[in-house]
Amino acid sequence: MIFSPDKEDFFAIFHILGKIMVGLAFFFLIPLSCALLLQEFNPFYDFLISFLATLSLGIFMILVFPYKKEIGWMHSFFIVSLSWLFASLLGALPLYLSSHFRSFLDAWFEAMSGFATTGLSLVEDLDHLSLSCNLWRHLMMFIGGQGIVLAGISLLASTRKGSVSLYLGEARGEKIFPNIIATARFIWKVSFIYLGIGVSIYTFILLKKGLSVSKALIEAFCLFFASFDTGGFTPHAASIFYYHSFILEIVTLVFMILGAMNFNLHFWIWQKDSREIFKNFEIKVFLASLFLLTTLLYFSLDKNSFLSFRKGFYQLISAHTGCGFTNLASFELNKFSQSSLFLLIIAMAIGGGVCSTTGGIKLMRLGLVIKAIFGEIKRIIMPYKAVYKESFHHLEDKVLEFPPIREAFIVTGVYFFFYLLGTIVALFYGYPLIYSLFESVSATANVGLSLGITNPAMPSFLKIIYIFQMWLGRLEFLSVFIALGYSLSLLKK
Amino acid sequence: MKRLSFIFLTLILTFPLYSLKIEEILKNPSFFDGKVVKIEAEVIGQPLKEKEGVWINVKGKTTIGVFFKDSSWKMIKHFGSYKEKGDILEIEGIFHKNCPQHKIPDIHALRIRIKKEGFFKKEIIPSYKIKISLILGIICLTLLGVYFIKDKIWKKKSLS
Repeated sequence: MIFSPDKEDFFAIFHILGKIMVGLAFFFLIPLSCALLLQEFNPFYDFLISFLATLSLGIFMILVFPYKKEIGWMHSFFIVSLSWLFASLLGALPLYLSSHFRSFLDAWFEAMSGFATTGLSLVEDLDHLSLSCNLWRHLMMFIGGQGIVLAGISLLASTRKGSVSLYLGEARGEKIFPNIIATARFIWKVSFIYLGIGVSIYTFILLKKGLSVSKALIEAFCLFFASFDTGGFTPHAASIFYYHSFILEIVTLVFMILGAMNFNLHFWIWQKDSREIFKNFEIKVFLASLFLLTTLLYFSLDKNSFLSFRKGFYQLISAHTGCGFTNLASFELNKFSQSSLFLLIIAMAIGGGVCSTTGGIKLMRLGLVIKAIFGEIKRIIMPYKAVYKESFHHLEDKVLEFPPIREAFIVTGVYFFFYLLGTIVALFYGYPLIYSLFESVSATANVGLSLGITNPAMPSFLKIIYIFQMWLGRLEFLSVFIALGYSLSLLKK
Repeated sequence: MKRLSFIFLTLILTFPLYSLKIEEILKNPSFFDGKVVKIEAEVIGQPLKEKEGVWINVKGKTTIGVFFKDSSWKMIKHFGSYKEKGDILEIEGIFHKNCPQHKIPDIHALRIRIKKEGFFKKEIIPSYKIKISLILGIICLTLLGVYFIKDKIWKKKSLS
């Protein structure tokens, strides 16, 4: 039987959505305070308008749509999908008002890229953008990286019954604690501890570079948000290349990898068994894939070991973790050979760990797909009556079973479909194949590396396609598909 | 005479007579690699210290770092940011596709000149932003008022 929603279902959905919008509104107070402190008065009004508009909309929705029905799985997926749409549209307000975007569509693209932790950017004259607006661009990555709804879960008592589905709807495949509130709070706790460490290190490096205290502190926050949440925005148009600092590049590498690690693994290492890092299946898949891709990249680059490391390896980690930082000058990535670009595309398409801030197919799924294929080959080779079972270690020893394999194949297939979709659209606009594929994978896997297709002058329809890809990719399709099905069921009534 | 013409020829070959744009150099980095180039671009950000000198980032359509071994960069008064339009510099320096010292593409400055001085931007707040803020503030307060009244009624109802 197909679930058919009634009026009360929608009231419950929009009521919760209203509460999430109220929560989002309070995040505007951070850049608003920053604007006030730095005496950036134009951005101050931009954030004031955005704060008041979001708060008003949230309260309006709470008032108009009474909460009479407890939410279930279907509602949760619908709420998750809509909250990302609403958040990106409202998050685009201060960006659009800053006059650094050609149209509202560009600002929306930027906001979706921020919340989805992609890092593709359409901002114009970034180096003259206010610090407070820059902070907002990066803060969106932190909010989106943690999960827009996850923030709400920790606060909203009335949604506790539906909180598990809300949590899983934001593409977090695993719970850390049996209690979802505890899981949400643990994720925040881990993030804030890393935030403290990260901001201190970045501030120290930037102060050593000669930046003023206020600038160093704000840029440190921005760099942390973008590296740990594998976002990829930077306060300057030249990305990490701007800083001319090898130490800074190393630190960003560390935080990118930490951000791409499964939060469950963080929990395990911190509180249970630190040796898990040597046994974990995802880590093994990551190291194997990294070793293979680095070796191939070394041969496809100019074979100079230091340059290969600094240039190739950095892009590879940035692509693999879905961050999108680059330490290259604008022309250099475009001068990479097609084979090097293709290796980066593979790294982007794979992504990081499940239950992390990265996009892409994810290491666990890739590992399961490979194991399933090899398992099938072994099964065929072995004697007919032999019983053979594949196993792997992820926090505990697990036997490879059919449901996760099926899920891995389905999600991988859908990812490939959307990688191709964006490529085909870009091809129709006349872009070269490798560029189209690179940009499409970068958008869908929420990476943010670009070969130049993403720019304010690109066709509007392609911008919309990339927005859609970033949204779908961040939520791993399921929530959005269910939301679309949910909406369509209304038409059938 | 021969020596003089040799010096003259060297000068002509090594020093370009007109300023290039950064993107022109970066489009064809191999051609300009190791040569003296003259660019015109806006200074952005802040000076970034390094052991043996200072980095200044300059921007046209794209950005490149200019490395100064001496203190000639100190003549720069305005660095481009939200509040300032940076000085437009004319920089003569050696372009490296892959600098042997820094392992990145850069320009090692030989001479600089401020072609156009930057300035502090005056921040003008459009009146519509103030008006919209006021209107939204009133709407927001009204909605909050309604919400708290409704909340009280709900609580009273549930108690009774």
